[in-house]
Amino acid sequence: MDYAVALALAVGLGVPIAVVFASTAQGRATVAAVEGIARQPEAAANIRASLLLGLALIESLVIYCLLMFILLMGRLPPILEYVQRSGGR
Amino acid sequence: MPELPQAHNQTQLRAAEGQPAHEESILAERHPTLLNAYPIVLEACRGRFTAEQRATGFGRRLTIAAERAERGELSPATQATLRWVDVNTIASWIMMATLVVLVRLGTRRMKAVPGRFQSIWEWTYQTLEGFARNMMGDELGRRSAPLLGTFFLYILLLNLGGIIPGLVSPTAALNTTIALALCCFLAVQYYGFRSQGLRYLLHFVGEPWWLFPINVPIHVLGELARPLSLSVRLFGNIFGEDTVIAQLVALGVIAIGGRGLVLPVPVQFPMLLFGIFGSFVQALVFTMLAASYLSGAVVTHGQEAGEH
Repeated sequence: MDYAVALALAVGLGVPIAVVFASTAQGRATVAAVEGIARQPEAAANIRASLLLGLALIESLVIYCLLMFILLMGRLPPILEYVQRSGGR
Repeated sequence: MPELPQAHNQTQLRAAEGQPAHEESILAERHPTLLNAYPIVLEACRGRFTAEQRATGFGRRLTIAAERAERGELSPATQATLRWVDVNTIASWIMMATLVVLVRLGTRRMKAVPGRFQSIWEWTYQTLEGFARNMMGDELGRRSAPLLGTFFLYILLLNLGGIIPGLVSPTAALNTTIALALCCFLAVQYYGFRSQGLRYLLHFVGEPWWLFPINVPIHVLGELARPLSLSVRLFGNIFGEDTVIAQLVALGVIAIGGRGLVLPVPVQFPMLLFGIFGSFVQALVFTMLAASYLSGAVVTHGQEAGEH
């Protein structure tokens, strides 16, 4: 596989893969927190605080992927140059 | 739609030539906002003018400066200043000034029966202090409420800057967020040393002391990863949000525009509402993490065993 092709695939697929797992994790965390609040409404403030903290920590992993996406996207060759070099294929 | 692919091609051609288009006009292309007034005013103050132009007053100089800025002919002094201080810094200065003015308005003549502004700030302070106390206990919470409250209000205002037309979010640039995270990092070390003295260093060694060859590098790395994650999280969230808003604005123009008719549709409006929410949440998350780091550094030794 060409270097540029591999880079394009990595750029395009990196964030979605991260988002799939992170959204699953965030969903599980939210479910647990909501169940906890439903069982013990008096602990709602504490649960909400730690839920927010956990969501932020999960989310930051996706943000790292986004950062890598931004960094790698700058390395992609311009389309026209790539097409010309590969002979219009 | 014959124009659209052609315009696309031109962009690609320019990119293919390796010609960075925005190096000639420093700000005009990257930030088509009200802040473009800044280089113009700067040029009007510091640019090269003939004696006659200088004699005709500031308004005339402003017009000449605007023409020059449009042609990309800024004087060396202005360019040096622009290289030194960028749009994000200006936006954060504007936000600082806003915050200072609002606080001064609220606390200028304080009365026992508060007026409108004063009661807003009293409520804000009570809420922030209550939040800090809730997170870190009464004593420590009261002491660090000013720091955490400043973090919260300042970051909230900076985040909201991207929603105000004409401004940019300074937190959508890494330099601002790194500075904020370093403030948090230094505050954590300071509070740790102040409350525990040199015993603060013991927490790097960890629980069974003979495991210190493994524990010390891990703990030091963990300590250093905190400012990294704080700054990158804030930057990534706000940058992503602002980028989505900018893309939606462009989309709204392209969808209708064509043949010289530009009818922008505010398709970014739902994202603006989400931006308000996201700004609040990110400011809260930063403050919350700072509070948990601070309270982790200040724990006494009796509590430490249960903490980890």
